[in-house]
Amino acid sequence: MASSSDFALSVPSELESVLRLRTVDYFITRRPWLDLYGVNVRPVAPFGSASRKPYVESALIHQCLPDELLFEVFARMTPYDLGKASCVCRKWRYTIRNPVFWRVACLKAWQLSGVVENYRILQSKYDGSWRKMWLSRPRLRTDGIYVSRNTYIRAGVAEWKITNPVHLVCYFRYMRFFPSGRFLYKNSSQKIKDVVKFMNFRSSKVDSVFGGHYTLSDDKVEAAVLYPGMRPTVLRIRLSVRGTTPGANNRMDLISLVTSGVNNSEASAPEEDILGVVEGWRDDETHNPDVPAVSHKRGMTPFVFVPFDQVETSVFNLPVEKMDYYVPG
Amino acid sequence: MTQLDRLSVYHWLNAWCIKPVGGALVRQEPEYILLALMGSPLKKIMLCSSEKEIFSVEEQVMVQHSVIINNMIEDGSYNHEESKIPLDCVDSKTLKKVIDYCTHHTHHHNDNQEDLEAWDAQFLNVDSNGLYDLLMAANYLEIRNLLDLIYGTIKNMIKGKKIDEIRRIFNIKDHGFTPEEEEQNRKEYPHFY
Repeated sequence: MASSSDFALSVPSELESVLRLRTVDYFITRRPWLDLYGVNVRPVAPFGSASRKPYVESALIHQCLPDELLFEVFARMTPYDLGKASCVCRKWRYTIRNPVFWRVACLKAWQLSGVVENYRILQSKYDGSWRKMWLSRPRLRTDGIYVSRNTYIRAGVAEWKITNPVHLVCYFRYMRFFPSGRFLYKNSSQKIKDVVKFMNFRSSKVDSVFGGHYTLSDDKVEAAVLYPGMRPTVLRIRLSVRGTTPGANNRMDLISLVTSGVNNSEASAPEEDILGVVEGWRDDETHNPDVPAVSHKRGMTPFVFVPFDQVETSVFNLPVEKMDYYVPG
Repeated sequence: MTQLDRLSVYHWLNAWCIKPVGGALVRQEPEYILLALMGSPLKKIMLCSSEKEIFSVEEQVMVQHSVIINNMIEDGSYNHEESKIPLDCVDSKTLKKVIDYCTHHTHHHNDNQEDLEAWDAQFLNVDSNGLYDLLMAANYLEIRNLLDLIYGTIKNMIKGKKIDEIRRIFNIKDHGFTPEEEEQNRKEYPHFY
């Protein structure tokens, strides 16, 4: 039976009320097809399909492997690879439709909301389907880095024949999110393939990677990161997540970016309290008179998501002259 | 003394097999030293494949890796003098490979990670048929690390590849989608193809 211990569903007591919904009927209704487990199920292709003739199974994996073992293979894949595998053939698609995969992925990705809240949202917004939640609910991807490329023009020094030189300067904002509620921020002109190895918690302030905390409600991200030092500053970032295709979650639009001063007691508070410290601050509020609050208006290009396996080949590595300005969709 | 300790002592004795006998240093067979120290020889168990071929393996080796065999031995239902464990789901060729894996991992568990991984990669250099047979044998015998290894291999066959490549690798000649469904998939998820 395809229920290894990794996926055993043990329901905590606080979920009793949530389950008093139609999904409970799902578990007690008779299901004759459960007897098919352990048997190689060959889904019948629909009428128009080319495969309606007597079915000859060519794939060795389908001839040899019982369905539970195929399930185990899929259990070790990321949701992205699961989506890809469900396009390979009908049998794989039906195996991957199993809500267990999507439940595990959802509870991990939205762990900040908590299990009870996730179940509640599942019932109210997504009809009890974890797969629908995975595809429609906005989430911050953790398998790569969000990059915002900003450019500006500055005047250069006039040389012999070049009378009015301008330089096109390009800098990047890098953000990497973790499911635990932390994120890393770096603002630099270095290319993404050089920056990616520093975007982890082993980096120090010397690499100018700063760590902060964030929350996600619906598609709105509230993030705060403290820049320590002589004049401690807090950077408050508000973003909204969207995707170019459903479930892609590969774009973030900057709603506001504010740097303000914090006083000494706030600066020395533990890192995880930073969101609590800045909660409810107005846009122009600052707690250190030496550091005025600045709401940035430039350098607000939308963030584009680059998965780790595309970091080396991403267009963001191109030098300024070769850049294509239409990347954010 | 636990089962595992015996094995380590056995190997240590094998390497340093000297025992003072009557004032002189004489090399002794490790089994006898073990016998003298602990009172029982290194146990072997018999495994019987589906083709009725019998394989003799050190008990420690199988007990360490296979949950099923460990349970059988601990139950006490296995009588060392007479019994053999019938494994009707596993044929001789696969059983030999499984035993090979377990023995190597028991004897070399102190090696560094790279060597072990290299050996594992070489071990899995078999054709698809052999791979699936190994997977089913490991599943039946519940050998956790071999299972993880093979699942990881199959997962890597899927990860990072385009759909047409995956279909070719697994020899899925007929994907079972209608032409309209296939076209819709290609339009919705072009990055997969």
